[in-house]
Amino acid sequence: MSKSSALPSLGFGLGVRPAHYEALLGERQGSVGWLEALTENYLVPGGKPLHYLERLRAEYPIVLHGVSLSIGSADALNETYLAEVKALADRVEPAWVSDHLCWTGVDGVNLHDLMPMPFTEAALRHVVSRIAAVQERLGRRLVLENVSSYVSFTHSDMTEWEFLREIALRADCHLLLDVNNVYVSSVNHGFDPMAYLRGIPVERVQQFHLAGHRNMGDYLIDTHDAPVCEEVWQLFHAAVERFGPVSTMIERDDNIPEIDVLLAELDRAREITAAAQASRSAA
Amino acid sequence: MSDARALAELQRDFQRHVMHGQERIIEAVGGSPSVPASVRLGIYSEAYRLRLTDALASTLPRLQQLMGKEPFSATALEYIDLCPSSYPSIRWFGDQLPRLLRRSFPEQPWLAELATWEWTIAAAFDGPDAEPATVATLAAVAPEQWPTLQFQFHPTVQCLQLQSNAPQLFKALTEETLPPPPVALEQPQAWLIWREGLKTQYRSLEADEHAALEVMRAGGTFEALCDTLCAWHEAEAVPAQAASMLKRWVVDQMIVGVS
Repeated sequence: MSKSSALPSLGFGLGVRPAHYEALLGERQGSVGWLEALTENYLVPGGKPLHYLERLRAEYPIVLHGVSLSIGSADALNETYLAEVKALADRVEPAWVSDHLCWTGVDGVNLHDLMPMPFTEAALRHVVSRIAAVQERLGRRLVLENVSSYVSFTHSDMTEWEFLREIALRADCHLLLDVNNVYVSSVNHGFDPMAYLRGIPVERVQQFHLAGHRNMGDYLIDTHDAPVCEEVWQLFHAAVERFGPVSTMIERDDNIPEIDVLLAELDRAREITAAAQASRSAA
Repeated sequence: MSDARALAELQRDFQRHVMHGQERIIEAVGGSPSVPASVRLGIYSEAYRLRLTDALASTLPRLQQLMGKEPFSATALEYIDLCPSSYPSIRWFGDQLPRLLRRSFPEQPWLAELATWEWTIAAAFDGPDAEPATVATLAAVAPEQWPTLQFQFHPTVQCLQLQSNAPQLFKALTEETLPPPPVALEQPQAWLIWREGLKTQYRSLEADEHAALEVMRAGGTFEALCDTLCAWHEAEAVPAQAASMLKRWVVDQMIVGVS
């Protein structure tokens, strides 16, 4: 794989959920430019999930978004899982395959959660070597997402954005910038989210996620079950100013509303993107 | 300590906190006056149990309805501690739950059986695809081939032998009607679950059809099917019985090949 910039934007999309299958293939067909499918939901032998994924694929570009790669785990890579992801990718021909910069368990356990990494040189080297192995197995460049976190490790010797930047450059992978996750972690750890954005190399950002979270008073919890909040929309504006028009989508994992509610949020993302691009070209 | 071992130790300590509440990881975690390290770590422990409980409820929604939310959660928490997930997909978490229910509720066998039932229905829902055979496929078979003919069943076809009215409970709860009182049966009842196209189907089985399915799914020939049916039917009625049973299986898309 040659070193290259991120792929051109697919425009505005949604994370596809079963409740919206029929609308996306029927009365709302073409209302979005692309769809993100959760990889693990389609690692099944057959039936409705794969039936609908193939029908959607015939109408939309699709990207696959996984949660169990566990790229930061001290365990060996799960070769069975990688083979299944590769088989699904061969079948679906996604525009790209993404997962999270985190670990999900150790000693064979899957905690089914996105656990935080220590930001150290040693962890960096570990992750970079595993990304190389995964990119080799999948035969494609990986896209990694920043996660929301609630703890930081006292022995970390760099910031999260320094860690992310080094990963992208050394492993030659791309990044999925979850703007909500940047905001959630900035509040939880007391850093400047703008400094985070400035620390990320422009040419490495392949995709944006927009989502909602829950405010617990002293901290925020990334729930992906609520509308995008004003602070995140503002940060998204700044992100588009810095990174340009990148493939953007709303990610809702719980409290799934009618599709029109998400399409209205996506319209807001379109407006902000247009405004941010205008101020970018004016600058 | 090597870099890899140090990372493994950190992750083990973190995981032990999430799963068992062990506190060693706290020393490695930063906190703030308003949100101390223990509160921060607690977010992960709580989310772990909530997420897995939600996953069980999503695979076994009727069981949760029958047990009630709190008793279901208590059982889920016990299960989470006993059988941590090792599956990449959370979809498969819960496969051993019927065993725990049998052990914990020996007087209420319908709980374990409802879990088994819902699990089997889910397995049919996203089980492997296969192109069904048609009545025309059967019609094309030469008469002399019939005695040695074998049938390949759709990979989602499953037979369950149940000691309770779990399927009736499932049906009523799915249709949001008042479920019958849960009961243990004096005689076990056989059930068939399969997927017809994209639609998951089930029905009860008479003893003759259950025996016939067991023989044929194990690779039995049409002749073996007839022999099996002799235990229930007069010899002269058996060929017609076998043919009509077979036709129903084909029409219901349970057969995917003959050889």
